Amino acid sequence: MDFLFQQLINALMTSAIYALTASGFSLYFGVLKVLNIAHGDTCTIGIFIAMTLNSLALFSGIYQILSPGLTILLILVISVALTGFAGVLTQISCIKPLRDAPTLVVLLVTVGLAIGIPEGIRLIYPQGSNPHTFPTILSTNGVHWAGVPIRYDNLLIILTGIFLFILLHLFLTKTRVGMQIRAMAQDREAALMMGVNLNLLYSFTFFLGAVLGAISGITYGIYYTIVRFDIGFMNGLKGFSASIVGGLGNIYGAVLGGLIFGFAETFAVALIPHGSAFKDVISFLVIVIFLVFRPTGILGHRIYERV
Amino acid sequence: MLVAFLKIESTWVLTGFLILLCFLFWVAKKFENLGETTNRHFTEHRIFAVVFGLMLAFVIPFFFRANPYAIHILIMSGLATIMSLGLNLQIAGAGLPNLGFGAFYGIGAYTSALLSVHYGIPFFACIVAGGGMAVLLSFFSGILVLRTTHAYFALITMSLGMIFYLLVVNLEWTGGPNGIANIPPPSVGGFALTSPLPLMGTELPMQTNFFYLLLVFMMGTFLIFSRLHQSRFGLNLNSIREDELAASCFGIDHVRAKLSCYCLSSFFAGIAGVFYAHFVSFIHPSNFSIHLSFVTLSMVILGGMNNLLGVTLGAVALTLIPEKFRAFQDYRLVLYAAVVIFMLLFRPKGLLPEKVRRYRRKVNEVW
Repeated sequence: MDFLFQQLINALMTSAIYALTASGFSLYFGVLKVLNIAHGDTCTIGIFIAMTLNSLALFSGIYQILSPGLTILLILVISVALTGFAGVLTQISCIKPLRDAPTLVVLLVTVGLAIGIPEGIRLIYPQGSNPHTFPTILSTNGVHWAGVPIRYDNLLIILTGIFLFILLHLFLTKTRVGMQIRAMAQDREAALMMGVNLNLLYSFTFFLGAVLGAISGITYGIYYTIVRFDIGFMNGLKGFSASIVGGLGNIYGAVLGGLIFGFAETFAVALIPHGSAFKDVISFLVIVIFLVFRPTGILGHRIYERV
Repeated sequence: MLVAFLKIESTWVLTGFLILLCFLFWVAKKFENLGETTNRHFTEHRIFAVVFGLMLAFVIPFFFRANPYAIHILIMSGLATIMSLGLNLQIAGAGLPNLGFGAFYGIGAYTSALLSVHYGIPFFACIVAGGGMAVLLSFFSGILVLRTTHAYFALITMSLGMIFYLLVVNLEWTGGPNGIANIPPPSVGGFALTSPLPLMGTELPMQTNFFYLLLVFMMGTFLIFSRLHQSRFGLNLNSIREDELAASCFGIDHVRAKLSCYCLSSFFAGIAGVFYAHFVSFIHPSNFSIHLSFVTLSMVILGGMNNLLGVTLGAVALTLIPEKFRAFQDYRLVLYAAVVIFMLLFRPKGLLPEKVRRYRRKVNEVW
């Protein structure tokens, strides 16, 4: 029972991480019809900016001036915002000029970015090729609940995920920009005719997606505590597959896909002997099976091609 | 020009040479007539051009007697050419963005390595086995995968490529993370190809044997792909690329065409993999990761979509240039990524655009 409960907590955490990445993907695809394979790299960018800011703060002694909690909060907010701007930069330079290009070209450009950005990070960051420890934000204490120790970090991750999704849902339904995003996702031409500003929306969607990616990356860093320059790629691929499982273009599908993916992965690792080596193989097999048999995902609608 | 490029040692002269080459290219574009005339000459006296090219290629190793690494680089670029020609058929011919192409290279390499290390099967049988295995696996995966379209196809082939890499790294009988070592070199009639070649009075280094063997392979590959491009099969593939539904309305069996294209390209990738395994005699899973597929993709994009000569040019350029700029070895992948992004943003057709097919020999030149 303890074992099951522990695995449940693990599954919830991994699904929170994947669901965050997946919702970014769904946002890109639903609103802009862009399959941004470079989305996983926003996670890496977020992590590395957070680590840089942390080293900077330690070096300049800000930890002594402000309280540690406030500094950490500031670091997180700034790194998330900077990653958002990095996303906007990517969009302006690479995606917007290709607005009318065939989707294949945009896809190849994002693949290029997905390979180029981790390499760039590896080259810019000092000793980029080595794994780095993500700074531990909280102590390793935890609570005991039903006889199972739960660490504070785990609780934080799960709560962050839930909180962010509620926030995202409220943003999409209650605010004006959220309504514009949903309108673009439903029917692009009608939204344009209704006066939605396409340029602004492109930038804003990329900002939002990058923010989600950064938060996903930071939670990844808190969970695994060892980060390398290329974890973003795997994270992005798994998030992509989670969003496909749930249905591309659908944020709630992304959450569902993240849950399914996290649970499948955790329980596969726990139940299959020597499973941890094949964890990634299982994820990719899930992608393959879903793409072959149900490409629109669970919550997606079947798309019929009009001749 | 190639020889000069390879002989240059210092980096500054090299940069100057490259800039000169770009300038020449720009000048050639300005004078369209010049390009047209050379093109016409080459097409009319095609046999002569091919024989001349072959003689040039035959002579190249004689320049590098003291520098076998240059021949090594040339062989690697030849392998890259075969891979890029295969990927070109898929991406630019049939519109299938295959991001897992490195997996078939790896399948060929691993099949032949395992067969020759554990069972001692000779090289030419290994070629058939490696290529056949690649075809078999691509057939079965193609049946699954080819029903998806553009972006989904890219994602699913990328996943298949990563599954291959992960399986090879984790399973024990493929050598695991240590790779497979001591792959025996091929031998033609008792003459092992790793011994130096005595030819025309001078001892050529051992890489020359592989170089000539590779030349034979490359000729065959180029011939097959150019005939495919000119044939009805190539036309079918291009029409599938443009609009699959319309193509099937015209009676083209798109399942069969796509499957044939997929398996054929995988065959060539497998052959290239077999050659690589026996040439370097040590293979490691990290050679066959997604980076390899991406590098091949960048060669196709740089060279020119659906233009065989362009793809060859792209492959050779993108293998030679990072090797010569050894000081910037770390920046290799950034270079490939930058090439892809810039080419797609500014010149999506590639350096050499797709050639118009000629079907009637012009008997009477009007002008």
